[in-house]
Amino acid sequence: MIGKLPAIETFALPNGLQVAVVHRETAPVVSVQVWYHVGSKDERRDRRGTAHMFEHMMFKGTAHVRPDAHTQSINGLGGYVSAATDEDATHYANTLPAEYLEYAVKLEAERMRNLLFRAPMIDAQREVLLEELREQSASPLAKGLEGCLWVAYQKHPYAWTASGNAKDLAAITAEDLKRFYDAYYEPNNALLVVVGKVAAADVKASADKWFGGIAKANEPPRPAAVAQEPPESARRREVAEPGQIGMTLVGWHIPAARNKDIYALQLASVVLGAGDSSRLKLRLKTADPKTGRSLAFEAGMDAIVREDPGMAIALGAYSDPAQADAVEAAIFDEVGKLATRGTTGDELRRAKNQLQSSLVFSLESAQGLGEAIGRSWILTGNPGAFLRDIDEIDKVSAADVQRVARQYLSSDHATVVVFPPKAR
Amino acid sequence: MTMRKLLVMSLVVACGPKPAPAPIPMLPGDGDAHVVKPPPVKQAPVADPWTGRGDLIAAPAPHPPAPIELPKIQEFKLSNGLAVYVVKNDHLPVVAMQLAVRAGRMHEPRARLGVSELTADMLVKGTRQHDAAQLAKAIDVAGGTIAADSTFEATLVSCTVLARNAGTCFELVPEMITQSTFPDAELTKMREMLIGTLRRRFDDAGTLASAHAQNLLWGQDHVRGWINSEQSIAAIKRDDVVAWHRAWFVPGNALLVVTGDVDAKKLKGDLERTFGAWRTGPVPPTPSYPEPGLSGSRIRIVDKPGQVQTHIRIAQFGIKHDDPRFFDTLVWSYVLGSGSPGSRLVKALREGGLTSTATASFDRNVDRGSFVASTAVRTSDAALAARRMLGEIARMAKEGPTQEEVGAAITSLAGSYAMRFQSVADTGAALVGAELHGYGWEYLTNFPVAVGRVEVADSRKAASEILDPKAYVMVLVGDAKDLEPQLKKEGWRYEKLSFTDPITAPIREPEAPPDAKAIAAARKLIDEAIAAKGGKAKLLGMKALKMTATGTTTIQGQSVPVEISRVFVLPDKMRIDATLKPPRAPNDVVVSIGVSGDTGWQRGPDPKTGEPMVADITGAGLASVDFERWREPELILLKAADPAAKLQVAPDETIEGKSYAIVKLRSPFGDVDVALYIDKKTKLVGRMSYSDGGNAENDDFAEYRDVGGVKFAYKRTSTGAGRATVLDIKTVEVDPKVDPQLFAKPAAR
Repeated sequence: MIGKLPAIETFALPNGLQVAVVHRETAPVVSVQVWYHVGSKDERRDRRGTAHMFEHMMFKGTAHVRPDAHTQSINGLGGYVSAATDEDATHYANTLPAEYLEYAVKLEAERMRNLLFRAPMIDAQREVLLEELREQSASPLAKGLEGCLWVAYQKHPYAWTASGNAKDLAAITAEDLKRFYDAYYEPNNALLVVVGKVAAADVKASADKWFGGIAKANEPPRPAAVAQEPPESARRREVAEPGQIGMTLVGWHIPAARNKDIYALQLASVVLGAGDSSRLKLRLKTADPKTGRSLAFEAGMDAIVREDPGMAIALGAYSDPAQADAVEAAIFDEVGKLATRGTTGDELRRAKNQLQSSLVFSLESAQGLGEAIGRSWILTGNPGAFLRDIDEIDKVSAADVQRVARQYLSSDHATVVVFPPKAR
Repeated sequence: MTMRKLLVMSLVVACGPKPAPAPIPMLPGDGDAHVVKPPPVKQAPVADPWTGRGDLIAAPAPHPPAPIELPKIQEFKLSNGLAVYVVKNDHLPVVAMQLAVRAGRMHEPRARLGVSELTADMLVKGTRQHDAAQLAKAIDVAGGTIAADSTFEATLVSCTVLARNAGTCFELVPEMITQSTFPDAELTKMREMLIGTLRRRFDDAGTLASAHAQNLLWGQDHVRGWINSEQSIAAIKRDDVVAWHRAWFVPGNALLVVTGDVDAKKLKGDLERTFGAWRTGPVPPTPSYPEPGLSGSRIRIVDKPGQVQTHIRIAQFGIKHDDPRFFDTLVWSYVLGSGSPGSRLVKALREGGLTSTATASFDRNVDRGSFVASTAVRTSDAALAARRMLGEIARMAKEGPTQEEVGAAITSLAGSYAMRFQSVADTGAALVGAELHGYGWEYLTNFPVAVGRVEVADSRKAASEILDPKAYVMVLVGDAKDLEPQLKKEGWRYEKLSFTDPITAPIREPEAPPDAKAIAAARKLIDEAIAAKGGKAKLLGMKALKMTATGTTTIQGQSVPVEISRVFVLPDKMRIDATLKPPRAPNDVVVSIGVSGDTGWQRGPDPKTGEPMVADITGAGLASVDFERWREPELILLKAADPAAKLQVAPDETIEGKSYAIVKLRSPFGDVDVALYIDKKTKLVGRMSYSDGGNAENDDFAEYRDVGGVKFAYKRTSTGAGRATVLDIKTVEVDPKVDPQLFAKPAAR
């Protein structure tokens, strides 16, 4: 056991709304969050960006709340709001003094079913999203990652991210949004998370009072369920349009969050590509003593854990076009070495400490703990799964890491996407 | 874990409500104010589903602010006098350790601005037991974070780890504090990093505006008015860092806070063991400066050509943290400039779409700090925005906040205060702040209650006493050609600086009395260097020199091949021809310079037309030429050997594995010192360096070869201010035949 971890109380309302509560004595603060089990993987292929657009619309007026008044009133109480969308989930968080718990619950219940779809607001938010997309297209990393996913997923909607697509965003109508809202913004597709200096009984009373009157809806459609990605039988390799910097990404399909191998895969990713003493960073970023030059100016690896099978992606970024092949070869070489020779005790200890501490540190704030609960529910259906993760990480052995590297990170079924640097 | 965050972050689109897109800037000539036009067609009112409704969700009635309940604090002192505060909190298996040393900007000597920052940065760069890489690895393996930084009042070191790895913090933090070695190589890198940060300030008009506002308000004789420059950072040597650390880093001048899942009983013994070696010593007196007065307004334009937005700062003097009007001031300052849509500055500037971002705040320090109102607007709106800000400041001074505004401010200030106590490190930081300012735990717990007690009348009184609408400084960082007509139209008098001007005038320290032993050592080094170069007789015998070279010159990242021919006839004739070969340009660019005595000319393409042109070199240009002739690398050792030369020995430095003895030679040009780096093995000069307006200029010399009994460097690299030139010398001729016409001013073609 790593130490004392929070205790989570869960219950459900008759309309299907799941509720998770953590009582904490640390500060008189509460984080009230609603996690909707809807992300970009639930979008139509010709309406990419709907989930993200929705997240924006949720601040822009409901039947009983003026545009932006939700944010302004929480700020006025000394609190703050945020929201985020990814492939699997969309969530809304209000963190404020604990005595205003009920007000935050009331505001969230209001926007769960009373959102207004007004043309000027839709058009304004569409413009904001298009501007975000333009900004993002200037980021080589985001562009690289999008490119890699698009090649790696031939069937599953993880082929695109929540940022959306300009053409699809332009085509989204008020009717599309309304359909999406009615399908996914329903109590039986959501988790209410409350973390802070509040009593579970008060949370239950507020949830009953404000969410209890909302009717249960039909089960939402799950387009990804019928678009499972077939196993990758051979290596895919694509050379994309040149970018400002050179970037080679190598991706491997990994199992879904519920699979136990995910812990060893996360540790393998840290050993290979997180922290200055990780293998890929040392191999790609260290200068050759003879030439004084390194293969790449940035390198790393991450295991993207998702509800459905995700990806582990390694990358190297460089400015000399002649380095592209060497960077790719070095990535495969380092991953291959992990599969054939395994990891050292020191490396594994570092990886475990890093994974566990980043998780535990994030639980220190009410919002961070609420988000860990919400994410766990989305990924596994269990709001407390992250608590088990902390212990499961401890149990992983060096042999497990070597085995998953061999099993999942084989060069034979990797996806390689190369963005050569523009010639200068 | 940077890459983990980077990758994942890029897949999650995290948002709050988005700011409105920036309005399209008006171009000169845009607009239709002088065009006769039909009356505007009345727009149908946009249907608003909320107006006139009684069933909208209203914000709840505010709860009266209550004290914050915080865990118990255990206090003790170690035998060397270090004050320790322990806050046990085991809700998560995390431990944070924060050490504060009362050594910050306010304690720095004027001649060593930046020494507290540089020292803090160096604490993680090497100890007697671990080098920088080993320290980084130790914390990396523990999965924790460790950081050191300096503020106006203190240097702070913090370390956070999982409780099972608490030993890592308990060992590393004391080691960093008591066993720092400040290695030269790391210091050089860190200095360059800080200088890089300062250079980036030139691209950041907001930071530049804030620095100028402090300087203009506090002046050149108060520590708050002093702003770091490249020159001030470049002037800090290892000896300064060591002396600073030795003087201020003593246990009686520090406090340690440990928070989280700790074994409080065992802790004292552990800390005695790890901090026990920290030597005690007297705490130096804190420097104090007379506060400048402020009567009337002072306005400074900082000209940044091409800057689209103008950043505006309006500053006055603030209050001390222990001022009885502190909480009253917190409230009116929130009303004026919290930045929320209802705050007065935002409301005033939103009208007509000037901007929706404006703030006002005051420093909370042991001594009086500043009150600063800030915004950024289109340059064409700058004077209008500044006038509106002044208007709001005047209105606040005259009328103060309303009852409703005070109520809203109290709710938000008291409510947001609790957000600061969520992590164990948050709690530690709050306690460090309270202790540094001489407050206790009760101050932290009762803060919301104290805010809640503010009465409208008191807040109004504080605003009227503290804000003086007629005495302020204003800084505008923007394009002066567009700003000056606006300020003139307003009838405002102003001073104007360039954005590249040093903000704090560099000062020279009083010269130390000559140390006969040090001078003798310097002369010995120079004599050895002359002998290695070829001997005094050979050098004195040279009447002229001609060199040709090829290489590349890189300016702002653009590399261009170059060929150079240089002729120098003693004592004062020089001709340089440089042929630049830009990769995609159809023709080479040839630039020539000729000087003779106190006249000179330059030939090259006209920057506007590209046509060849010849111009005289005068004024500052000629002064630069004089300096170049004086520091001629082949002869500068003779200048240093002159019995009247002012010499100093600087500490040895190691560059790329080579060890150099350093002699500084005072030039006759504005008291600039040229440092001669003498290779301790070969005794040849490996580098000449000097500082030009805060920019370090280095000329490196390598691959020496013998030409007629004199050693010449065949590889030369010159770097400084975003430019680098690398040259391979092709030919060297001593006493060549030179046509006197070479120095005469030519025709344009």
